[in-house]
Amino acid sequence: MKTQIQALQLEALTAIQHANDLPSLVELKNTYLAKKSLFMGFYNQLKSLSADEKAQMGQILNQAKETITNALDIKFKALEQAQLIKKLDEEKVDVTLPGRKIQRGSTNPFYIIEEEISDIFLSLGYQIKEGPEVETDRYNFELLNIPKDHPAREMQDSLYINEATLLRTHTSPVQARVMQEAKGQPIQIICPGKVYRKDEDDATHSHQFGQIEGLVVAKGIHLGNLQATLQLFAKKMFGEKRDIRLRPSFFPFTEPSVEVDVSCFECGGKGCSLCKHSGWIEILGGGMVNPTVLKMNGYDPVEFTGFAFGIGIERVAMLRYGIDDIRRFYQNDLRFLTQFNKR
Amino acid sequence: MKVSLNWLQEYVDLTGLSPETIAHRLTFAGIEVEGVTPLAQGTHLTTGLVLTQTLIEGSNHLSALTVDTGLHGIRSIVCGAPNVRAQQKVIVALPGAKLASLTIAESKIRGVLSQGMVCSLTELGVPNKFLTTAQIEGIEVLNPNTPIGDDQILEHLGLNDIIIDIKVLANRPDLLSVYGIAFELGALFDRPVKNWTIPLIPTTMTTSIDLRIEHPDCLRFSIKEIQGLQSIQTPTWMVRRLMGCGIRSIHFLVDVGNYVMLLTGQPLHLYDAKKLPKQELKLKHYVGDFQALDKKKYSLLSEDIVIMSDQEVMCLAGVMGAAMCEVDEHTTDIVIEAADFKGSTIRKTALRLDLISDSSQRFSKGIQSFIEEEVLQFTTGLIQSLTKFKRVSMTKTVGTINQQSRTIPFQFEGINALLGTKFSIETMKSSLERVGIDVMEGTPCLAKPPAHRLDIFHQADLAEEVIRLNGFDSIQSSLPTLQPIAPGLTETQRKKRLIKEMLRGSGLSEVLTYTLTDEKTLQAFQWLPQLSPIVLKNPLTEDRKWIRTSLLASLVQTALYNVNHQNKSLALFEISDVFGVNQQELRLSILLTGLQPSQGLIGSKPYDFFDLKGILENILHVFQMDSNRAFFVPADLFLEQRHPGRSANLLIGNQIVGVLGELSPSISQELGFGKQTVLAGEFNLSLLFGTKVSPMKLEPVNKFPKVERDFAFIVSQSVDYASIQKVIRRSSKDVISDVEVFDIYQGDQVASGQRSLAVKVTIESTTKTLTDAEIQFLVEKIKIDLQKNFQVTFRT
Repeated sequence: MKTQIQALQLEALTAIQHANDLPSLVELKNTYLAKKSLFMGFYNQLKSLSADEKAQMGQILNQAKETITNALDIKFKALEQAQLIKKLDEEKVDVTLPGRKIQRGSTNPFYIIEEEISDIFLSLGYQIKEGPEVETDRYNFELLNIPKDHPAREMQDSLYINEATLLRTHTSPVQARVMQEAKGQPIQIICPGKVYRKDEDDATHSHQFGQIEGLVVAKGIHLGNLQATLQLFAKKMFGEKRDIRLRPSFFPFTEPSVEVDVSCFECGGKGCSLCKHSGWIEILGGGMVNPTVLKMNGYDPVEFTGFAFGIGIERVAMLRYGIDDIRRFYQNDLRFLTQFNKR
Repeated sequence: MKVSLNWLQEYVDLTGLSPETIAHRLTFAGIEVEGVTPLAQGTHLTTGLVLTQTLIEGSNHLSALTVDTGLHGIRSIVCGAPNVRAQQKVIVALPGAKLASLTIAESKIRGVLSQGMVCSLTELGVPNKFLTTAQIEGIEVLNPNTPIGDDQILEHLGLNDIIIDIKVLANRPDLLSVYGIAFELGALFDRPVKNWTIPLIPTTMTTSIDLRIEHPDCLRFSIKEIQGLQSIQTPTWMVRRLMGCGIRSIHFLVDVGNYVMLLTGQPLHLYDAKKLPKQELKLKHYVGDFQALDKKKYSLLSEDIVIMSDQEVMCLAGVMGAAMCEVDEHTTDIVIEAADFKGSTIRKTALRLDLISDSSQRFSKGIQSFIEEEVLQFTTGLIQSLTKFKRVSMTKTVGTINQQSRTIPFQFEGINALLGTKFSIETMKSSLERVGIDVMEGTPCLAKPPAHRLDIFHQADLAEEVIRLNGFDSIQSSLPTLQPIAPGLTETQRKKRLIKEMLRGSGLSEVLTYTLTDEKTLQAFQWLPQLSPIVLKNPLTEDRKWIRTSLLASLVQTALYNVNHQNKSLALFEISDVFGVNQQELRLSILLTGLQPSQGLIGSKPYDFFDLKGILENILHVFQMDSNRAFFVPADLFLEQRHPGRSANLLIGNQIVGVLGELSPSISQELGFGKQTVLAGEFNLSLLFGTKVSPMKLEPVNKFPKVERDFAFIVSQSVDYASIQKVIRRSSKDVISDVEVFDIYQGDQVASGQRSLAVKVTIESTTKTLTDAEIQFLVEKIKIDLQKNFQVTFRT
């Protein structure tokens, strides 16, 4: 019997060793270890043996069974592992293929700059005020100290709807509207929006463009406040190292009026083609609110002073991104737009 | 205004100041300098006498010259000018010379040594407008008396001038004169300024010309008459002065008029007295044709000011004279006019007739009043110093004679307060005095600006003068310290930003388009109720004549531009106000076409109706407009542009807030999209933002379990999903928390006219755990309701 057991054990171990898939291994397990298997038959035979022989053979039989079970377990694990490896290998993906995503849309750079400038002034406590693009002559001109006979009122500069109405030529009428609304209270606002001029479209002119007007009116406001505000704006917009300089200029609604240059962000002020070798780039105009404007809009110029400034949105965007032609903003070519989904 | 530096130096001492220093100082005093250019340019120049001239063999235009240049020797020079001859005195550029656009070196031309170049004025950079054809095409032939070897020839020709080009802003018309600029430079550099002198000339007659003002926009009119005048050639120095200011010499009398205008800023007009039909000049209204001295005919309106003699127009006041009384080389008797007209009237006339002259520009911007008599006297003196005449009249003037002077009360502290500076009173006072303002100290102080400064009215104007002269470095820079007044975005601004952000997140790109459009485009794509459109009175072109009342047409144009440039897959939006007569609406427009980029290109699907609808549902959800408040219904109006089965209106209550759909295939084809499907929509954000919603509040999270049951059934295609959803929800309002379709099929497997739907219903109670029996009861009820309402057949 012992020889028989050993022979069967050898046969089983050999078969297990050669098994190369899980179903045949399950079959082997059934063949050798199931209730009616050859092996279990030996246990039935134990009953006819003496107590001594029973104990001895029983031990041999148990050892054999354990050896086969262990061999099966090991083989099971090995086959399972092999199967897993095979499965994983089959499931392999090409990780260089593109991911599944909703690609973020782009924004016309006009809006990027408009929002960025707005955010700078919002953080300084300014409010955003908007006004109508179809504006009256009174708000667009008269209340800004541009009386009837002023050259800026000529038909060739503005797009009129009738004698008294036109497409606003600047965002300044919002100043007048807000001053009249605020009724003598302090004001700190910016007014972004579209404006219109009777200009032929070319690389640097557009009949439609964007402006952001700023206005601060309160007691004790002075030119140094405007300088500091624009200095801060220039640093936020064009970089910490930027400086500004003021040059006297003329606008009917401010007195004194200034043009503001920022030190060239391309060459740092050394002179390059962007700044026409001057080291400075003109970015905006402003000044102290003309006392006539304050008076016409309900503020006593003896008590109140204010400053105002106007920034061209496309101009800032063109400088910032190196855009060569203002018409690109209005063409919306996707090859242009998609470059602006990076911030 | 172009101004000659040499001329300026006659009136202000600019010794030791380079043109660049002058330009810089002007720029930082608020006077923009657009250019500093030499009238002529050339180094290593001298003069020579052409000794011999022989044509080079084999060339039909090159001459070999020998030129005696005095100390520089006798030189062999090759010259290509057709007019070069022996015995001419010429300008020679020696090797090493740098001219306006070329450098001269010794060389061999056709085997002949050339030790320099004989120059034309063009080569020295003198603008062609000042030269004759012969001067442009050939070398400059000098006066035979010119010494040879003269290295200062440019100076001796009066061409060593620098032209400063000043952009005169509207507030400083005083800078439209040489004297005005000289005065300004005197103030800026604190240098003495010399006035133009008024000579004493004994008058020998009174004029018999009758003057009368019958037009209210003529303020004053003065004349002086000169008889027996001998006309001469304009002296070279005067030609050069005019040249330095960009004006060509015409003939003596015209040149004198221009010279005086350039110097004083007062435009003059000269009449040939013998050509006047009658001894009168009347300032009148006139309607009719006018033959100007430029030989053109202009049609005049009653607002224009004309000067008439008898029934004939002698001059369009302030703009241009008539051909019939024009002065010329033979004129002996002249009437010189110096007048003051209302600037706006002259400007309107000049603009309307497109006749912008030196005179009209000065009147338009404003001239210094009450200098007419002095200017006439100066002019007479100038003529007398140059030629002879027999008689000169006294000045005759009609018009207002009351000269008003401005006195501005101010305080020195007020100036410092406005500027943020700490200037001393002495600094401020001397600055004001330098620009010609008389200051009387007191409480308040009084300032009297000079008559030529038409821009000084307030304390702020005085502050500007102070800062202009002292520079911005003196300002104490500090941020204003204000209490914030309602800072941050308004609700509308916040919502607008949120929508933009959501749309970008959904893959849409934001575009910017023009407000102005043509009539055809204006009418296209009016899907929402149209505002009453506004048309411009003076459009630039027909293409930009109307103010758009919808954004969609602009978006379609943008899409077409891109499709035509091979950008075929597009997801675009624009948010903008649109305007109608007394109307303003904030609109959103969306256009989708081509493939969705959402999966990369792998398995990419074309956009369809539900992509557009989904984008909107997302927005509506964020604005708390769920399907019970905002809903989509099939559109049945304005359908000619849209696919009739794929169009919807978005309603809030009973108001149309938006319209969306697929463009009808024939329309997209016609527009140029080819076979590409185009989805588009326009939405009234003003209405959406204006719809009241209660503030968001947390609903308690349900602690009882929910169960989901699926229903699959076949139903007629005429039953829309919204109705099915509504019936299911109504089966039990308390415990049905969600109804969602998860499968739709129509085709071969179901009868025609039918479709198969699979719907998931979520059932939960907030008060207890539902029993199996309760759930089963509800399931049966839903089935019965669906059968009863829509005759559905359940699939097993």
